[in-house]
Amino acid sequence: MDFFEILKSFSLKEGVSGHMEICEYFENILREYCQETKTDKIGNVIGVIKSKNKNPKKLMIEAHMDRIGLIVKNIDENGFISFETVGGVDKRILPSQEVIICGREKVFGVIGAMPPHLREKKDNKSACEIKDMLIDTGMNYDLIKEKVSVGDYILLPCEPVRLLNNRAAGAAFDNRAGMVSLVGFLEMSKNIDLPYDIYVVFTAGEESGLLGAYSAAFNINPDISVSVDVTFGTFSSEDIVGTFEPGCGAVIFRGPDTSYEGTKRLIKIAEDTNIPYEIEAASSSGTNASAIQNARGSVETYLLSIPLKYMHETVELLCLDDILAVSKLIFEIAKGGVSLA
Amino acid sequence: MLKNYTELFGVSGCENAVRNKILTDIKPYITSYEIDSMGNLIAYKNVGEDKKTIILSAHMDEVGFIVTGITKDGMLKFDTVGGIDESVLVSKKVSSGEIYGVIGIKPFHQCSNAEKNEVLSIDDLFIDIGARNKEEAIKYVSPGDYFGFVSDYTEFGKDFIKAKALDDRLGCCVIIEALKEDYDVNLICLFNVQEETGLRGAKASVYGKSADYAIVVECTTANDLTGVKPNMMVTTLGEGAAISVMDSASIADRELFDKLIETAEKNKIKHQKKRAATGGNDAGAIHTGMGGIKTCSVSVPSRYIHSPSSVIKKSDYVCVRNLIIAFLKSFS
Repeated sequence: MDFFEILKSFSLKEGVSGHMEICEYFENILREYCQETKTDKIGNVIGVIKSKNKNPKKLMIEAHMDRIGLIVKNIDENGFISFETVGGVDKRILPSQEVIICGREKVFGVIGAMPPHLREKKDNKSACEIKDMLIDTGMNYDLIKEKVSVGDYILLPCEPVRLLNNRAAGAAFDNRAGMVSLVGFLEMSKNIDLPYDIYVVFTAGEESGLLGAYSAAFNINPDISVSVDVTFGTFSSEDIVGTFEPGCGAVIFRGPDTSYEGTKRLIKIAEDTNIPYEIEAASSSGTNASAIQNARGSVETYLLSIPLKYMHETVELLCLDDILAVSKLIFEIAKGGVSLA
Repeated sequence: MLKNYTELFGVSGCENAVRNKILTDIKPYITSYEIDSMGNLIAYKNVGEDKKTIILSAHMDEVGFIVTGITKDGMLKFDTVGGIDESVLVSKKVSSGEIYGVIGIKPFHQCSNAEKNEVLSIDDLFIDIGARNKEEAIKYVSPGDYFGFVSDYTEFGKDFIKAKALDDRLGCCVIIEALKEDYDVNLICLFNVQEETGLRGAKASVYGKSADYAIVVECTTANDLTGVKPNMMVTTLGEGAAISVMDSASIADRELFDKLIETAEKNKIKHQKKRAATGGNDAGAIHTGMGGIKTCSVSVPSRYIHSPSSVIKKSDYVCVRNLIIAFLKSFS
């Protein structure tokens, strides 16, 4: 399975938080593996694989599908577009960034900024503010208003490239990489009888407050849930502890958001099966796992993360081996060897 | 043609790929050529010793990066080659022509409020090629290697083009196209190296050349964005070939300037004057060459110059090309 090619095709797809048109594409991906698929009211894409066992428990495996981006705020009389951010977008990545506006049609644009020496600003060392940035679409007002409206979503694309050591860099690896690990698991477990009813969910709205996860968990009502997201990649060897070197494997989260006993057993399984892993710990994970844990009663939750450098930039960097490690751990959980539920 | 030329790798000091392609494209149309020890390509199209001689000049190099060192973590420390505003470096892909790298920064979730508002200097930026440590990186990269922006040539909007290195592959393309026609003047075409690092190639390439006129074909700033005062725009996309009155390195020869304007008007070629005295180009090196040569610059207006996503209007390129050809044809 070529993780890079799948990651690349996922990365090139739209789906800024709130933009629903992406659901059909990802539902089609799940259709290849699942007996039934659907997209719910909030935009979660769900696929179900029923177990052959009697009275099986429900295992939900999810990765958020939405990506950070921008949204059209205004089209000025010259055809230049002002925007706001959706999800945590660092303004420093925006100068000279290419964009694609998802309007009535896809419109290419460039974020230009006034050169520093022309800005009436405090000093050249301050980053340009979002309110001073404009998207240049190469069209005047009359042309652009036929294609784009206020409220249209704007992608920050960056075609992924391969780097050394099976690493890759590109846009939206947060969290298309997580989605790839779910596809990796589905591929691995094809034609294998699993003890749980599996609900694979590409969740909506994580970047805007874990929105999809609550409803997905409420509607599915799982017994066990595995969330896959990304975590901070180590920036340099002098970095603070609590970041992870791409290539170190799957990062298993220990903290109140996840099952204390279950996670301990998962770590042991990772050891026994030689799946590379590291442990991340914090009082709160800031991921869908925390939303799912008590969305409807209580759920036995697990959180697996892929180390990612330059998070929320268009050159997010990871090691493809880590995606495989996560797929393998999901498989171990799905086989029934971890949860005592 | 613009796509092929802008996508080539040619950072100042490492212009081989561009020069090789130019030579292949112009060979059928020239009398002779030479390549000097700096790498300048000088092409001659002669018609007769009794005819006037005109220099056409463009530079082959683009702004980029040079690796200055490798950290123990395998990250590449670099210097910019040519003037690049540091704010455009963040979150971009780069390429050495053989391997990719990315320039990323500490995620803003981990930054203090002060850090989130800072423009990082190149001392704080690194190229990440995916190496785990210095020993690994050194197998693929060495200090002194060059990296350039990665940017696909894209046509968009109404007749617009986004690409890297429009400055000054556009100038090279104009001269290549001009060479395909015949004139009643001798042409000396200077395809220069190292303009971005201080007009260095032109100073060498103009040496020993005598000419009646020299025209530098370039790409110049356009800040025709909303919110910019009209007197700060410099040039406007769509208004045609920009003819320079004066810039930071030279003042246009008035006679040549007037002749160019006259040619443009006579042939109904859209043109504008560059409305600022900022920026410098090879005219700075050429006009003082060999005791003085009458020089003027004709440019394609470009937004976001010296970034991976420079933008021009195709029709302005056509105007520059047509103006140069019309000017050359006006001699008979």
